[in-house]
Amino acid sequence: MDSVNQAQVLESYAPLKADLDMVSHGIYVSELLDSFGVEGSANLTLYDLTCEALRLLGRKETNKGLLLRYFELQTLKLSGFLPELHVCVVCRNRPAVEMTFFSPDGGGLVCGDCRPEGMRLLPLVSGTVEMLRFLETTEPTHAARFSTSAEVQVQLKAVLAATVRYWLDREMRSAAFLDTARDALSQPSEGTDHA
Amino acid sequence: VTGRYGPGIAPSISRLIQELNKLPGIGPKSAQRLTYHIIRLPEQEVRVLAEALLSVKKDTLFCSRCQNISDQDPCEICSNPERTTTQICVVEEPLDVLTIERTGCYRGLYHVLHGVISPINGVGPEDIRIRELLRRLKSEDVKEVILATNPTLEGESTAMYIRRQLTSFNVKLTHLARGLPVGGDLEYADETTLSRAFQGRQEF
Repeated sequence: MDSVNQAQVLESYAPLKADLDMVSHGIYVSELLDSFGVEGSANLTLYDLTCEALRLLGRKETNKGLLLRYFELQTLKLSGFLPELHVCVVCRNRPAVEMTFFSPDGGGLVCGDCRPEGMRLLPLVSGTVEMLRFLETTEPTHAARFSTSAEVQVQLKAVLAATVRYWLDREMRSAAFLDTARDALSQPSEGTDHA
Repeated sequence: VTGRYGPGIAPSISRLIQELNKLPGIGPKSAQRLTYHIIRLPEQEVRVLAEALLSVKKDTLFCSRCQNISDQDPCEICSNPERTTTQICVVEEPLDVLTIERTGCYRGLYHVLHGVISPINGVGPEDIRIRELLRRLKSEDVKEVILATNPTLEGESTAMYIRRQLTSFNVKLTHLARGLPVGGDLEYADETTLSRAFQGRQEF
């Protein structure tokens, strides 16, 4: 057993902890790191990426949803589970943008001509494939400042959540709290009719 | 059960070790030590221990008002006419009530959440007794809610969630001061604690 004799806070991420919505995003990042990190196997790149994501989440101007998608994709990449985002995983040809599907189980894009029987496929709208490729190569600060359509954001969330679920073989537990925190901030509380 | 703690261990011993091992803070070694201690006790003492264990489960209940564990409903604190009923101190666990009571500086009522929001461990707001707190605020004349959750990430998240839920209630919402512990040393304080101590400084 290892023995910890001393601990020191290097960065407390104080702005992140001042707001329920930011906290819920930070917890999601921590769970993702905990789920894909391998005990006893240092992954400094993933550690640095996590620190940067937590720092950016504490900024009001950050597109927190897109930053989470970036962190999911980069975590998959750094853990060796990056989905194929450039050619069809069945025929290895570059799929036409307007006829592209995503298969979490198959490991990436599937073109409209292939669509094998029994493979679970998510149809992609225009812009989602380009966003996935952008998130694969860009820097975290760029992802945090970028904006895209609500439809693409919803698709990115579905595609990456399904991929994470496939590799972990379970749901991310903190994902439900992200929705709870968002609802708590947007909806009136139980006391409204009383006040 | 047989064989889990070694081939030479009787199933009844192994079973007790296994059950004690499930208790918080009791590892396999401690469970073994406790088991062999119990074996060496006179039968009458073991019977008293077993009866105490059964009794604590049979004779205790949750206070319908504050959710604390008690042997009566409402509990002793909630039914005490000398307590200030317009103040509710929200704590995580029943043990926190005992700790605050020992200080003798609080005369209001409590609300025990029985946990904190901990998304990584799959504990959401619906798994702790926040709903019961909101129900109390609707039915009781409460002027102040004091959030006394621990200053941990989970405790703070729970406090922030409750704060959001209470925005439309006409109550004063406070939380315990954050800062340096008595007998502590500035040199060893982390930046968050120190900055909160500065924010909460008082005229001297």
